[in-house]
Amino acid sequence: MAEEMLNPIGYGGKAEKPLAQRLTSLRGKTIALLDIGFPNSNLFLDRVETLLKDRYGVATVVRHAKPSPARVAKPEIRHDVLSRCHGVIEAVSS
Amino acid sequence: MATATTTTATLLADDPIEQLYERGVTDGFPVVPPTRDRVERMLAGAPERSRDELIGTLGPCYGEATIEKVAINAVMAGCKPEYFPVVVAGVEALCDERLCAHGLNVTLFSASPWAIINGPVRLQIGLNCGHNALGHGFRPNATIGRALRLVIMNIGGARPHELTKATMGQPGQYSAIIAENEEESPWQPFHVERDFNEDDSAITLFAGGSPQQISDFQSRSAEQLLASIGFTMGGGLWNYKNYPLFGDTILVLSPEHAQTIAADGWSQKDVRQYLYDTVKKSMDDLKPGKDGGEGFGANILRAFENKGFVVDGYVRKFRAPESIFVVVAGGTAGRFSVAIPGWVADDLGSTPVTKRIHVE
Repeated sequence: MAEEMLNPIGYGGKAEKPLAQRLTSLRGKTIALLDIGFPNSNLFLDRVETLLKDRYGVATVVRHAKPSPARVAKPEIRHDVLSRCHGVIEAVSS
Repeated sequence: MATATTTTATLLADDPIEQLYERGVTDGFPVVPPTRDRVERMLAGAPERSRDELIGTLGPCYGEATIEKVAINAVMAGCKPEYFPVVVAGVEALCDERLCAHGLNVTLFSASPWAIINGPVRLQIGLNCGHNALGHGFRPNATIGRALRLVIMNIGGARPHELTKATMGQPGQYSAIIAENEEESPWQPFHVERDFNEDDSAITLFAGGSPQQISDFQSRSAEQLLASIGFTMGGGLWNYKNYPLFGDTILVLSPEHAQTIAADGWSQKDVRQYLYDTVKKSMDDLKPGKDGGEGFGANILRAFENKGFVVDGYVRKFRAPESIFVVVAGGTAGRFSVAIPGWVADDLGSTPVTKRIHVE
């Protein structure tokens, strides 16, 4: 009989998590844009905000930013997105 | 009678090494099966630590790094029990918020934790500080760094093609250890510069990229040799536009290079100051285009000027003398040194973290 091996994994569940349920429409929704801090992302996100509102009828766009691409978003940002936004776009540019 | 194919499949299914591959818990090399006996022996390497003690949590999945989980991964890496206090101190550094391990473990940049090890523990466990110091061939150098990588994968949940997104990766991701050659260094050990005593043992984790070799055979003065080293560091670390470099840098001087510099009465502090003062480029050279490459826009160059990075129209490579860490390692023959550029530093990213290694 094979000898028992102990489990090296220290986190619960799978590293790869399922995607959240997709929105069927953006109309009237509140969408967060999270700028992760690469160059020119503000210019890119300005254009995305315009398109979301003009083309897809998004009611409100909430803008957030990470401290830098290397640092995780602060807890208050995650809380704000969870509490009042229907979706979030984590946005990269360069 | 079983076919050859069936026999092979059965053998593989019964082989614990193959089972561990199937579970996705290796770094690509075979790992030592973490049987209960082996894990118990590893735990005995740090008898003052309780198996249930939580060292911390580690991103991106924020798994719990308990002493026992770390011991399991140290067994798999091939560590001896006497290496375990070094691994535990390394995991303490990994879990320290200042290192920014979450970002480091998933970034597109191909950084990895480099570990600088100082103090008596080096000789006690046989870490190689001499020829091939950053290379292969020595069990503690190979397995301590490997244990940290397995902890990042199996406790942090950071695996390539899943949450680890390094565009290129680098060989240092398997194990990246620098044991300082304190015996051949003309200066005080690196950890003493970081406020430890000489008879303490300590590990410093540094979010570093790939090592870049620098050769200089001819220089016989501190100034001439550091001009060569600075020339290489000025061009090679990150890219042309990284004036100033927003990461820290480890400069690993070979004993011969260190002794040449020290013979002129220069300290590690003098080395840092010289490189800070002399490695710079004209602002004109850093404008984007066919001459300046990616460069920096005029608004960013103006911001540098306001922050004091620009002196007489020149931008410094290093944002502060303290962003250069001087370590001595390698063999006693050979006029080769190595620079290891860091990932983004300070508030933007990672700060090197030093922890005491508790050994008998």
